[in-house]
Amino acid sequence: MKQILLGIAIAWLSAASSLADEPLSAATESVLKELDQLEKSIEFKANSLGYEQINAKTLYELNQIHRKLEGLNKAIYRYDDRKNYYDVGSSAQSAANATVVLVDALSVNSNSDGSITLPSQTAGLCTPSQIDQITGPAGETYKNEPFYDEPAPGFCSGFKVGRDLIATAAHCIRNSARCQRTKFVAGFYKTDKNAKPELTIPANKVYSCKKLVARKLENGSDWAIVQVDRELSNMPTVTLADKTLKKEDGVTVVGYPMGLPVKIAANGQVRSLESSFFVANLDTYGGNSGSPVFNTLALVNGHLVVEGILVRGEDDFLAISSPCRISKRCPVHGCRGEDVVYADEFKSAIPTN
Amino acid sequence: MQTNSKALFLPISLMAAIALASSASSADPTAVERKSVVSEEQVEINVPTNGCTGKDSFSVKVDEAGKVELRRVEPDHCKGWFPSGEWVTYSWSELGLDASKFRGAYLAPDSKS
Repeated sequence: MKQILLGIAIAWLSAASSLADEPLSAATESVLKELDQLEKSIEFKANSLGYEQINAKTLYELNQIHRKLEGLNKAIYRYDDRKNYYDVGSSAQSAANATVVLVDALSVNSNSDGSITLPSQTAGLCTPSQIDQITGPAGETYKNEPFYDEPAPGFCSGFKVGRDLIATAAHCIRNSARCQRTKFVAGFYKTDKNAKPELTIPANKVYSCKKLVARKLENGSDWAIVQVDRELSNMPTVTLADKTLKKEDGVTVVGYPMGLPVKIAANGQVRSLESSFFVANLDTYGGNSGSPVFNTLALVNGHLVVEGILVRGEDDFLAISSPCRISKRCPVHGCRGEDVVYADEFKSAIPTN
Repeated sequence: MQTNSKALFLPISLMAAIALASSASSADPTAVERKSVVSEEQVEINVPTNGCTGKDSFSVKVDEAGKVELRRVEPDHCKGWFPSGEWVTYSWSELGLDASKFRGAYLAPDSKS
């Protein structure tokens, strides 16, 4: 037998990040718990009344206080900020309406009416029953994965920056051939908690690559501009910000983590400012590359101001032996942070049409 | 005798360096099954990627028995979602292997036509 004589091993040197956290005092835990509940209560009320109507600013300010408290204590794991489309107010929905999910054309079924049917496979996240049975090396237990049963057909995110122009990350569209092999799909979201996202997407929401207009992947920069086959209809156009962001400013990422239906993750905060990108503690995963990162304060006031494109970040999952994926949770000031290339980096590359 | 250029999918192990040095059966949390495709000319190996992984991401070490070890030297912090991984290709000469000596051994008998 000459089978499997090839012993190839890949040494995986990406060391697991250290999450050495100091425990919080009972009093601090108690205050944070109350604050958490208060915040959720206000958020719920704001959502039920219309996100931006009366309580958005209060919610934002409360978030800032919460962040500061967490920062002082340096060691709390923030709850998952990601929300589905149906779970956010109209400003955040409008931001989501400006985005597209990038899907490999070879993975979809093209229907005779021009629509496409997306693949239904999930992201392999642990189900609640799996999570219940998994313990970590030190006996720790894990939180449920909220979107474990949702389909995950996408590989990257993007957003409208012109009449027929989409911005994304350069590593999502490596060359013209990859661009031609990509479908840019609008309107991939859940409309109701109990509804499954529609996998058959009508033709008017599916765009193809006409041309890879411009691209840069060097010195921390990572962006691409794609011209699609026709006007991106019924999608809002965003405003691209100058480099005016400051440390601790609030940012919100809108995109397709793991290729799931669109998720809106607010409560991010700028950690540091580099020459071509900034670092923030946004809740993102693989698939979020190309996501627009909005200025949260502007967003709660109804303005779609994009500060940059999400391109890099912390490892998504725990490196433990498990039959399914478990999200890695970081302290607010822990882990490496998520890199967002400034919108200012690619603004001048966008053709005026 | 002709050889199918993509005839054989071999399961390969993704192991940490320490596990390699000690025992392959030790419980390595990062161990997952990978695939390779071996042909007369080259070996293609499926590697994990977030969108920013290529051949330059690895150093390659080959021992006398022909055991090939890819060691990641460039982390991939990108945020693309490519659960099927990415294929990197090495010719036999790139691996420093004498093709005439090794390639026959790597190919399963039923892969030859």
